Amino acid sequence: MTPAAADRTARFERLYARVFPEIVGYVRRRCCGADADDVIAQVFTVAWRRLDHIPSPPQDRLWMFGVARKTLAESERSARRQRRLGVRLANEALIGGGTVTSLDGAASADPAAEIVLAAIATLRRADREALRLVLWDALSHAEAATVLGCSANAFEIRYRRARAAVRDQLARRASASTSDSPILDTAPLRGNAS
Amino acid sequence: MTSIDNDLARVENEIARANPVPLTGLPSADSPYARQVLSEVLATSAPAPSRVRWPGRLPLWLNHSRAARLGIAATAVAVITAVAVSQMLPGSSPRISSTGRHKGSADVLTALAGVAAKQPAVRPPGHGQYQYTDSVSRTSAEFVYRRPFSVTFLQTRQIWIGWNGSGRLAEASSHPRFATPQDRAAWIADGRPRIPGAGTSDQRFGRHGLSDGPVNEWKLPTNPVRLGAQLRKRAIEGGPPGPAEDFVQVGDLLRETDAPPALRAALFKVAASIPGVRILGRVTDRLGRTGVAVAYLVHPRGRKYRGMYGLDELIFAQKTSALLDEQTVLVNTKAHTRTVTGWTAYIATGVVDSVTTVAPPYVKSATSTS
Repeated sequence: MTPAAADRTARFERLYARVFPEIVGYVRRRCCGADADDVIAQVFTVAWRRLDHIPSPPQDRLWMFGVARKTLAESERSARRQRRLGVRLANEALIGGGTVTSLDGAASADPAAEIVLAAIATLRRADREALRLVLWDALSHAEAATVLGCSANAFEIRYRRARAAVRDQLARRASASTSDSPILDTAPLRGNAS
Repeated sequence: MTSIDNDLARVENEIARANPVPLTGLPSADSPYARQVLSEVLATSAPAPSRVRWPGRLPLWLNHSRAARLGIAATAVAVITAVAVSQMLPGSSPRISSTGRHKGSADVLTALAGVAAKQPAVRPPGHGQYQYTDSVSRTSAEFVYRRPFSVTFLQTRQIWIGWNGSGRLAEASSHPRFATPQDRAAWIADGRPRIPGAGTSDQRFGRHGLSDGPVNEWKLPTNPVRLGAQLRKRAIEGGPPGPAEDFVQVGDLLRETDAPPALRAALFKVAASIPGVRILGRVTDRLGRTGVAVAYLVHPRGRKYRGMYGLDELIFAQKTSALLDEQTVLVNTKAHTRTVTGWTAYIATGVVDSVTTVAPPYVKSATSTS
């Protein structure tokens, strides 16, 4: 390996060590199982190939979030394209092959959490992402605005609107929950349909 | 602090508590998983291009790491639905490879291109107008608890996509079924969690709520060579390289779009040039309409999958070139199983003037579906 190549690898490994857990968390909160693994590998592959274009710390971390966001969007778009044969084949293998991997990205079975997740799922994409970046990914409002590519003011509007919408939904559910019917019975089937 | 502030703080806490992947417990950069990802990434070529390119991997589900997880699961899969495509019954061997070109497919697709080109001119939705599509499908939803499992639903769907991506989406789901016995087993192992049952939703979306509007079909080339080149370069839609994705993208541009006749004609010609595309012949779809079935044949890689292949099938009306129906099929010639993993029948499409107006159906249905 040439000195230049070694230096490049070392730079990448430093970045990798710093952001790996955060990027894994970001992806697994939005995508599960083998698909998440593919997205994670894809994000770091982009970073490796674009290493010379990555901004200096601390902006490099937000750049990585941006790549993860775009990669996930691409993955979601593919998944939405009707039924993808490959995805289904992979699922068959995962389920039937007895090789179910540890699903760190699994949705909580906690009923209270599911109500919150259902409320979040009904938000507009940008609003939903504003909440998740701050409350799940632990980014500051300014950092989240950078990742979303919007102004701080625009982000604040999104964030507050999303938070108020979730509050209102939870309040409505609380007042309507007079039976123990399945929590999600009337929730629209969105997000996880393939 | 006011009660409203308290409310909002409580909501933030509840959302944070619902975090499906808490900050604690994430794999560190020196975990085995992280080391494996790192070695895979570093093994890819390192040059930094001036623009982001797909890294040249195989389609994700066909790469070796994924293929290695492909077992013999399909052998136990029950057939959900059967369709009368006699030459594709279990046990038959595909007569072409995924890299070959099926004799006759070009003729049929060229004929469809001719039909498409002669269709009445359409206009894209203008201000206040919407592209309307009505469909029914058996769609699969993946639920992830401790183990993933799939449930299929019969779903009716009406969508109005406005010129600016706004619109309406009305869906009704019913008749949930576990996709396979393995899915049911996973659900039981998970403690039989409650899952969404039958339900309806009717949502309105603001600007760009339904579509980012990434593709303007009216600006795409109608020369098949130029269109095919753009498509293969993924300049129209992103995505992995390869003919399987080419076929998917042709399908994308033919469904729920306002593609003009010349573009539709060009798309059929592009489809004719994709290796692995074959014609399954004249078929009757789930709504009793006749059409010609076009399929892309996919062979998973690896010895373990010998005898297994998949088909992405699109059924077009021969008189109008309209997409009538599509389905995804898994075939295991060793186990003599043929599994339809999902399907969609298109009932109507057209430009309408409001989100409460519908377009007339393509063809009157001969039968209902289930």
